[in-house]
Amino acid sequence: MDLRDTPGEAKLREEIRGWLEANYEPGISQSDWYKVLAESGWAAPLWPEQYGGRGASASEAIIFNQERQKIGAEPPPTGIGVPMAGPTIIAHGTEEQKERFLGPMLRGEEVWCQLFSEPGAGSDLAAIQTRAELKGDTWHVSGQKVWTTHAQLARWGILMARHDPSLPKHAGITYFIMDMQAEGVEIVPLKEMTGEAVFNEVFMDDVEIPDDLRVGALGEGWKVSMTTLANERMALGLGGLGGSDEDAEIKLEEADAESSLETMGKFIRRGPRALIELAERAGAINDPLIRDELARVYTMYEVNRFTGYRITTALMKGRGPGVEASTGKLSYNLLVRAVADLMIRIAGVGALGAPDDDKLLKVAERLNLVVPATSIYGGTDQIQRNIISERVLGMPKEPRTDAEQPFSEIKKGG
Amino acid sequence: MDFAFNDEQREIQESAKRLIAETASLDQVVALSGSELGYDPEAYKHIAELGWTGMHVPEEFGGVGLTYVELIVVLEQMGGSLYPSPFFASVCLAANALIEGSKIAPLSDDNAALLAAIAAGEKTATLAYTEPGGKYIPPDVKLAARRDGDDYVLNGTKNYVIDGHTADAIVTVARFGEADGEIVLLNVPGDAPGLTRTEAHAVDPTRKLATLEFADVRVPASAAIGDPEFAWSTLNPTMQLGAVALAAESLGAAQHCFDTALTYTKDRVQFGRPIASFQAVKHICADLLMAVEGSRSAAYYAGWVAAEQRDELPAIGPLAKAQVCEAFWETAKANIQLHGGIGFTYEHEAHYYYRRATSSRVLLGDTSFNREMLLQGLGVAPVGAPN
Ligand SMILES: Cc1cc2nc3c(=O)[nH]c(=O)nc-3n(C[C@H](O)[C@H](O)[C@H](O)COP(=O)(O)OP(=O)(O)OC[C@H]3O[C@@H](n4cnc5c(N)ncnc54)[C@H](O)[C@@H]3O)c2cc1C
Repeated sequence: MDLRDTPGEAKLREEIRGWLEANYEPGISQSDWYKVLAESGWAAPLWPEQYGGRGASASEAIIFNQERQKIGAEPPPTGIGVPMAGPTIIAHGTEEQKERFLGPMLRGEEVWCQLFSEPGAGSDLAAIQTRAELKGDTWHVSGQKVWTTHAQLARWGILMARHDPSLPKHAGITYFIMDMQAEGVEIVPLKEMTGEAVFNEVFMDDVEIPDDLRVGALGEGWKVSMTTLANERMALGLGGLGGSDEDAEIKLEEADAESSLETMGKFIRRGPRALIELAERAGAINDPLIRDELARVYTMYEVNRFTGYRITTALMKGRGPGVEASTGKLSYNLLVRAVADLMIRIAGVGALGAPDDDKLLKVAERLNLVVPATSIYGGTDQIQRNIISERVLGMPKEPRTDAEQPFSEIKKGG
Repeated sequence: MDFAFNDEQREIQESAKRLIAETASLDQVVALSGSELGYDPEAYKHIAELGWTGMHVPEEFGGVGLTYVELIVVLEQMGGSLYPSPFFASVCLAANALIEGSKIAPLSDDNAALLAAIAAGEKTATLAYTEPGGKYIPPDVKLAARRDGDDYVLNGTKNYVIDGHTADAIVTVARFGEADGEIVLLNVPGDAPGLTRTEAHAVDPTRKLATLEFADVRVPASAAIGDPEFAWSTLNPTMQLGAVALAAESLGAAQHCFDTALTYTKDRVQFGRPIASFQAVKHICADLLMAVEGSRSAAYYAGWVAAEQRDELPAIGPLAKAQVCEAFWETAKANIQLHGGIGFTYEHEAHYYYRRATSSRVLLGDTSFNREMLLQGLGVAPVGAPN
């Protein structure tokens, strides 16, 4: 047991530092930086070389990420594309699809969105009702999606649709790539509880999708979506594993009423010190109840960091992460919630209407409003517990009444 | 980065697991808990021969010279079976006090001999800190050490001393002056004239506690460990290392409770199906898994910090103790709950773990205390506080 670099890792780190020094200029535009990353394969180091990655080992990817953060360079394109759509296309897509989509995705030129949830299908994703009918070589898609983040910015969407309602619910689903600019696609912004509109309703009225944009075989949509969702859980869970990262250069000035969840995520990583600063400023640092909670939240951060080391070790040894990785998203959610609650407790009435020039209070106010989303998107906390207990602990599924008969005959929500 | 046990550590883990399974079934543990010693001296000799008692003690003091990581590997296994042994008090408290003291001032011959004897398993020892107040804070150290010529003369009471009624030596925290800082740590022989030791009633029968009355107990000045004017410099790291050890032990116990509970939920049928298929039961188990795995991360990291003597120890020791002992407590409670009525019987093992969890959670300071120590370890002292 030794958390320091092995000689091999130290050498890798030197090489990566050298590369970053030679290729990263502070102040470089985001699009130029994305290009540099994509051309070198560092936008998705774990992907095979022929698809724009480096076929890198986990150690390389992890060390690159650490060194990149140290110099304050932006991460490669995130969102739905590289973390979720990319791995799905690599695993299940055709060579033509890989050729067409992966490059622009890696360069951040094309934004992607996820067309999964519907009014009647959230946690129960297999209950989707959006129809896809094949006429000749072309699919005709009609239905409604909801909560679609960044649909208004997206060039492409990954779509789950039902090609045959007479089959049982999981068997009748097929997976597609949908052109968000196609005729018949209507995007209606939805106002979130924070007041902004990041997610949308997407209505599809006889939208045509050529059969060569189908991902995986007919009726394999459920299986293909599992790849997407596993990658989503991983991406969301890994967010918390950095633990408290005081190097993460998030300037409080970046935080304002419009701060994105990502900015908040960075803030959270820098969190314990900010919480302590807030408590000192608010004169709450001597309050034993606040001190107890500060230490408890600090412990949550640190435990996530240590668990991250266990996962990193497993990955670096070429083993898949074990049980410790499955709990990542849920433990991150619990941490974020605890941080938000504590900030409000410390700030008191100060967090009710923070003045614009008080960035710390502004963060408290803002975090409190965005945090309810984290325990819902990407599978609710309850669904995470179902997954952990059934897939990791091997506890039997609840008996269900909806899995065997034709989808058209079962009770549906929405 | 390699945050996993190496081959040697895994071997120690396997052999500890095997030995403990063979020699410490619950029946054996319960039987021993009824004796005055609370453990089997032959078994203690045996683990000493295996090198456990000297595991992390430097070779210059007669130890094996391995690290705290190897020590926590063994402790985790001991915790899993509530292994009855003077190991914790001797090796994880008293020996640490001597090792830490040796970093401040050279050990006297007697003290060096005690450390070597602990490492060899020839003597047992313990740490006597708490008094009737029960708190691990400076004002609660009242036992007086008066200087008389070349001797210290001790008068006062120590409570909740682990294995205090049987230990060969008692590392005693005593006050020699008026101010909080004026504390001395003394090696007192268990059979010293004037020392009365009684086994105390303890909620956890598998970890014996004693009350010690000191009436004019006389020890030479050379009994002092570390700085005789300011023993905190020895006592603080000793407590932090003790916290890491108790965390590792509690991790094993928590894992045992979790495994037992999970297995039972898969076997027990109600309403025509295993209770493990009920969501209310599943979600409890998912939360426990997170608590136990998080505890594993914390205990192992703390073990590494202790092994490397990193500056983080004052924060990470208490952090690990608070995290793991809380998780153990949650798991021990849930283990009873998920067993239903059978879990509340004396016959069933669950209450022994519940009792151990109760005791581990408060020994070496309760969770609030350790959280406060964590903040202070980070340098976040209350504003206006002394030192
Ligand atoms: C900010 C945000 C962004 C999102 N972005 C996207 C996106 O880009 N693309 C996309 O496709 N979706 C997106 N979603 C949708 C998200 O995935 C769903 O909201 C989520 O899966 C829950 O589904 P639901 O809203 O239908 O709630 P429901 O499934 O109706 O759940 C309601 C409540 O019931 C509980 N529940 C449901 N089933 C069970 C069960 N089996 N056991 C126990 N409890 C249960 C849930 O935990 C929840 O508390 C987003 C959501 C949010 C909040």
